[in-house]
Amino acid sequence: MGGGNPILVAQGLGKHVDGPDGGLTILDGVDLTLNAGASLAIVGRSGSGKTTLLSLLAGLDVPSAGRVLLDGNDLSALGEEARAALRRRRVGFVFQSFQLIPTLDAYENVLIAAELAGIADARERSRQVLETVGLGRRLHHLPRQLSGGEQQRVALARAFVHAPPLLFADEPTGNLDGESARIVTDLLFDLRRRAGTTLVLVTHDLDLAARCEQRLALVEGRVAAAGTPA
Amino acid sequence: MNLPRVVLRGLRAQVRQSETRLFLVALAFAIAALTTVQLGAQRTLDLLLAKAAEINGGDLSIASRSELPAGFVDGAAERGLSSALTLSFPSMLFAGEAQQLADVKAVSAGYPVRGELRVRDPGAEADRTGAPPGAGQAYADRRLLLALGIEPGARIELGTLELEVAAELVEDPDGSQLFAQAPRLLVGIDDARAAGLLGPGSRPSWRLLLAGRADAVRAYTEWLRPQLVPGQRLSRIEDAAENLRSAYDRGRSFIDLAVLLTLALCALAMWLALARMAEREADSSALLRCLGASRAEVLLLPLGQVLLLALPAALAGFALGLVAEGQVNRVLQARFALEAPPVDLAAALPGLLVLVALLLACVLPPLFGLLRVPPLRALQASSARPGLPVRWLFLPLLGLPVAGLMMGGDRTLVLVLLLGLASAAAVCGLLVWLVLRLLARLARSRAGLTRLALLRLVRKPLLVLLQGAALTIALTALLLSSRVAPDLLGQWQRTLPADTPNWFVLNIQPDQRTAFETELGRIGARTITVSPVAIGRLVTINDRPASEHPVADPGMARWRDGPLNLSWSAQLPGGNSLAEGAWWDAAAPGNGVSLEQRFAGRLGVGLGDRLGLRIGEQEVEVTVANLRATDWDSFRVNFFMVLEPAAAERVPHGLIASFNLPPERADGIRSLVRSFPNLSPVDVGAILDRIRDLVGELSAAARALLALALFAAALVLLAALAYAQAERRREAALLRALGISRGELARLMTLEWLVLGLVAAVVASGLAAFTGWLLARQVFQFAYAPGLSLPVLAALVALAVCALAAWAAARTATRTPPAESLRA
Ligand SMILES: Nc1ncnc2c1ncn2[C@@H]1O[C@H](COP(=O)(O)OP(=O)(O)O)[C@@H](O)[C@H]1O
Ligand SMILES: [Mg+2]
Repeated sequence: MGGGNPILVAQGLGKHVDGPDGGLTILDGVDLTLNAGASLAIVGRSGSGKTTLLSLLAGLDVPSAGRVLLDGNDLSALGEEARAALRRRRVGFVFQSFQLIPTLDAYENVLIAAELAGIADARERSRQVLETVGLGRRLHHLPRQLSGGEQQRVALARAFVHAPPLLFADEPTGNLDGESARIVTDLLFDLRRRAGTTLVLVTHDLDLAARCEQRLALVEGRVAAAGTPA
Repeated sequence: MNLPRVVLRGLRAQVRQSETRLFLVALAFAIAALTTVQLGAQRTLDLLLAKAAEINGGDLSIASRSELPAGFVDGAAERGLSSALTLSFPSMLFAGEAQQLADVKAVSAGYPVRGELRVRDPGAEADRTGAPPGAGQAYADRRLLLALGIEPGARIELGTLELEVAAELVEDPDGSQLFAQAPRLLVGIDDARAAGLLGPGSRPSWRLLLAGRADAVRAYTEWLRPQLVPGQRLSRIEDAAENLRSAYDRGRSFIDLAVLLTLALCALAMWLALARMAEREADSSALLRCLGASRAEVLLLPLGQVLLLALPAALAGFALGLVAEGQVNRVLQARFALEAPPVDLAAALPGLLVLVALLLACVLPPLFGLLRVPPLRALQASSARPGLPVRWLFLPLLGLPVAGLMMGGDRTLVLVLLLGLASAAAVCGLLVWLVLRLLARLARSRAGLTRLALLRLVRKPLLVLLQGAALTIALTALLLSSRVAPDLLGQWQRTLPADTPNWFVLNIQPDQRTAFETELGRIGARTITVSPVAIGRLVTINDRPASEHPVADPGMARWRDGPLNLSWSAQLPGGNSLAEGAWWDAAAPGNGVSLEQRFAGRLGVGLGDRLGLRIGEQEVEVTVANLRATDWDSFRVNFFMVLEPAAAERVPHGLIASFNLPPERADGIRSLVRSFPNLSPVDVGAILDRIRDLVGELSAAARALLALALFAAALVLLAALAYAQAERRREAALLRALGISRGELARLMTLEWLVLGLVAAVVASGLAAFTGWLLARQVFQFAYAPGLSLPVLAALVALAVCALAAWAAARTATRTPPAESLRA
């Protein structure tokens, strides 16, 4: 790992919860550094703590130990509101279960994110991104009128509409069949390359992980292996 | 799968869900309202029928102008009926120097066959049940005692007899006292025969009163009918009950409307709660399907839990209804001093059970959506949610007419009510739809959160419609009970001017008129009207016997066949307006008659029809010259039939006067009666007060009923909120993940509810004002002017409710951790 320009740094990250059967350590001593424009795949079995790590890195949740530096900001020093403001400008998300607002059509789902990020030509830009993901003719379809693959493409458009420096994707193909998954993956990497976005991708698909520059393998909440493929 | 065990195990978790609780509360409330009204209605009906028997004097009565054959009484005794004979006639009474015209009623030993005679002994405070007066004794009512200036214990002369006034007559159960014109004396029938007053020229009326078991009454009626001769009139309790019943039906229809509305709203709330439950259960259903459970088992699991929980809720509602009905009944008994019959649970229960079953059948279908949940859903969380099964929404609505009919409502009435309800709902729906269209346009030009809030309303039209309708109905009910009803009463009371006549005086002889009017002026009476009055009968209608004339309304037969009060006047009487035809010209006298519009309609006669009248010994033929609309609230003396003066020359008549006497001069009445002992003053002011009280009580009852609808509407609102809750949580988590702040989220919710609340406030103000206007026109007959306070109050309340809803929604939303998006 060279010097470069780290956009995301985690140091001694841990998550501990009090469950019904006593305390439980979900995540323990995770360190990582990610440079701007790089891509990281977090892999591991189900239940190994991938989603938990992602939510800590993105500031959706607070760690029990350690700290996260996003763009040089210490997330634990920021309140929930300040983290939200940071997310709004700097971060994009793609979720396993798409998470489109059911009362908004495809175009409006993208538009709301563009407007939240304060993009000047939000309308034009939203339409463009939807064209890019191949949904130029489905602008005014509601989520329930779209297939899973199409919904995830809308989610990609929403994530990239304000060209965020950092994108978090949690098993973006987990709910899709093979063909749709391939289209979504291609689009994801294509968009990221064009926008120069740093990517944090959670997956248990090793082919997908192989397309990332860095990998981090979790086993029961600990880093089992990390590094750049040769 | 051991279904019963699984059902039981999940019960506790099921109760913890807010929508389950809402369902149970709505069910219990619906059943409580239903029980209260059904039992109460049945009890009131029983009470009314008993009252009707009293007013009729018995279950059956035979009236005649001549003495009835003794065989009628024997026939009744053979069939196990109790009977009593009464005889009444007007007669002059004397006590020392004082004299008074009284209505003498003579009764036989068995009197009364229904109800009781209440008398007060000399010197006693309280009254008691009395037997008919013994030989040589009489009971005199308060007015008679006052008019004669005597106390119980005094002696009076009736014809050739001298009688002792043994007690004051407090209540004679023939219902006649309310309308009686002359004071009353009650004597034994043998004394009355012996008094020598029944000679030629007297006008006695005989009645045989009978009471007993319904089948015996029927058998007796069948036996008697062929033996009746003209002049003998049989009247059954059903006939006497008719007037009471129509009053009851009108009241009942309002109660039915309120309860149907309450039921409909509760059904909606339950329906929404179960729709939400179905959505929540869909995941575990899919899983169970994957594990090999059958469709039926997947449905029976939540269904069994719902039904198990419904049982105690229904029982609680039923118990609550019983208690509430008892309470209402206690108030009614205290107010009207009536002894209501006990509740007949056995009679009411089957109907109630069927209604509850109907209610459940209407609201359960959303759960049946679980039958269609594919096992695949377990693999793909987002596939095929059951969704709001809109097509099943018509069931609660379709159940309404059935429920209305089963509750014993009049068929046309139920239909009219439902059409009213349906059109109100349609108007409501249309308005909401229009507003949504407007919002959709508006949304396009807005950005960010404003558009999001607007679009959320636009894209969830059904939920918005339900929420909007519930809010509107609740607001309307609130406005009606808190503003419109008091306004109406206030405005109605102000429409009666201070000098509204408060006294009527009957029995004035034509030769007393001048002296009487002078005396009235002396005691300070105002707004004096004196009209001639004669008693006549309809003999022919268009040259055919009147008895063969078909009346438009069966209740009119007694006007067609019985005595009618007539008057005549050169001018259109005050408080009347011409509706059809022209008033007569004094320069061209003729034989015209003016009929009150509604009376003419119900009698089935119109302009140009010829009526033959017998007035005393005279026959007069008159032609209907015009129809009048009468303002009965003016409290003047009004007549159904007013003749042209030329037609009434030389008919024997008396005079009737109405005037206003300020309360501080009320003792003028005493000097008036002293100067003219033959007059009968009637205190209309007291009657007016009684009517005001009654209207006040009715409006209080109406407001209590509206409170039911209000509560039920609140339940719908809560159910709609609960229904949207899960989706809101998901959305809130997502928006938070995308980076919007708590404040923005709260503003989003507030905006959404504000729009909804404003729309509801506007629609509700309109509806309440319209209802008030309709009531004022149809019931109180004056023009109602709703104040500005109506929309202001509506807006304030709507804002308060919506602020609360927004606050609740915002609280859930802001407390939802954004990380939930990752796990949804
Ligand atoms: N709030 C929580 N309370 C208790 N246990 C949790 C919580 N969140 C996650 N876990 C547990 O932590 C472990 C890791 O979860 P997660 O990060 O979702 O794994 P992955 O995404 O790799 O499948 C799992 O065993 C999960 O059950
Ligand atoms: Mg995960």
